[in-house]
Amino acid sequence: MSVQDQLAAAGLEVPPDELDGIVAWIEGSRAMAQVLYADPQLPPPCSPGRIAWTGDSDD
Amino acid sequence: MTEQLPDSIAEAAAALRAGTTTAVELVERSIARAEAVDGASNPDRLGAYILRFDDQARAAAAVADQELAAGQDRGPLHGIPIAVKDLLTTSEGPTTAQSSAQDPEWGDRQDAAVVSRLRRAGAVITGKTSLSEFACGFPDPDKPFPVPRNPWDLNRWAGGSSGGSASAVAAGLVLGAIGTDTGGSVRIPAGFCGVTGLKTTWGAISTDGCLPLAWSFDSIGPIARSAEDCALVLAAIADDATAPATIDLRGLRIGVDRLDTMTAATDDGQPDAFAAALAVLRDAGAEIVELPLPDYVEVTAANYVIMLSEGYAYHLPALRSRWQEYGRSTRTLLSGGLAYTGADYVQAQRVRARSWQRARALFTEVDLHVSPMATVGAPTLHDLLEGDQSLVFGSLHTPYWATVGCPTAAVPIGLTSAGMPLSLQIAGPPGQDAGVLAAAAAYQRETGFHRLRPALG
Repeated sequence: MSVQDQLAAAGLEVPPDELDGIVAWIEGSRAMAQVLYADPQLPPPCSPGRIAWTGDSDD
Repeated sequence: MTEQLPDSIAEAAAALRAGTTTAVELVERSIARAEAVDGASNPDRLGAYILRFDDQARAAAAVADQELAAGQDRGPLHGIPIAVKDLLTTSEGPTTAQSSAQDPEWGDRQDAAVVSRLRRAGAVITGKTSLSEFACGFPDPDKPFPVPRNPWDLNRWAGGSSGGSASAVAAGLVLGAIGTDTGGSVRIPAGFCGVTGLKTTWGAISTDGCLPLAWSFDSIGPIARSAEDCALVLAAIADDATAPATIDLRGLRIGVDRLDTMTAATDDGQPDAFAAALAVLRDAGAEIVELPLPDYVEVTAANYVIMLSEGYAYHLPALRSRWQEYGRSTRTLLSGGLAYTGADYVQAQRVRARSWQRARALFTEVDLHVSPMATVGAPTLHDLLEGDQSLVFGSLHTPYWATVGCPTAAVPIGLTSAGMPLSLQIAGPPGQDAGVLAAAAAYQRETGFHRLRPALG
């Protein structure tokens, strides 16, 4: 699905003069995420509202 | 000309108790200074305040004086003028988040938890400061909000997102201010404006009454000239209020990462200023050890992925219906959340979990860690809005510690060749917020950079 299609599916009506900039930003942001998959040995995720400075299950 | 505020909260507090000033006098100085450099009709205004509460501040100051006269002393913030970022609710007025898309009545004009604590400590709330829209956009001159300018050079950005809070302190409008930090929003403006700021331990201070950007990282922290003053504000707003601590740097092990291979641009003077700061710490007795920040690239990326995902989730309904009411940079940035899959978000939270593990291990090797807040000074507004933004944002090194969640102070260390402030960040173990500020205060006892003032007005 193209970024334009994704924007439309999300219900975001982006004016034509903004589209190129937003597509570039989204594609750059997507590329940034790839580094997150470099380590196959990561622990389970933590959740947004949970503090886990100690303990082992969430951190 | 009206006399300016004292140099510090501690000095003002002493003067109040010695009877050489009053809270009313302090608030009148604060208002006069704001009117002189930030008046709404001033075309070269600083852009620090969105809304001032002059009448309410005068009334609160009068009460503070009455209480002190009656022997009711609420502590070091009693009668001290403090400004609050307009991302936090206050009873006096609306909360705009610097956005036309925001319902200004959000929060029902109840005080945010941190504002309640400030009042309980006797602080006088002077108004709401400007910011990057919803704590994430860039200044937008086309919107009906002040552009946060830097008091060291009004053509430059104050930094974001808590730009108005930092510029208000640096320009002497108030003695302290409250900011929020999700990826650097206390430390960046504090650093760019030459004052001191603390990103508090994630979860240490209640975010009730604070508009969210990303729940995983949002934190509230103090901005003031000195670490000592930040500690006084922290003691008033933290859940487990601690008395300001002092620390001896002798014998401390401090890890260092210059991040010089991780940065997009470096201003003249930054490497020397950072090296000189390390020498100060070493001369004061600290042991400096090279200690690269683990997983720097991954942890920084996790900050962006989580922040944009959570920000997008929060704002999506309003982006659908009120797109044009958001500033252009804000709606572009927030749309970045569309880039990520559920798997990306989970993976970022796994990296965050790993960063906590690695931080615990790091702080078994050293007591504190020092790195540049940024390798550049504040950019011009023109460069920020029209130039290559990746040069600015790739030179900011605040997202790392936001992901990890540890307390991190931004501390002035000198000026660029263009005369703009430079800053380093001191990080410590979770919960050791007062200790981080105590270390920063120890550094500031040996240096005078936090006492430099911009030649404004």
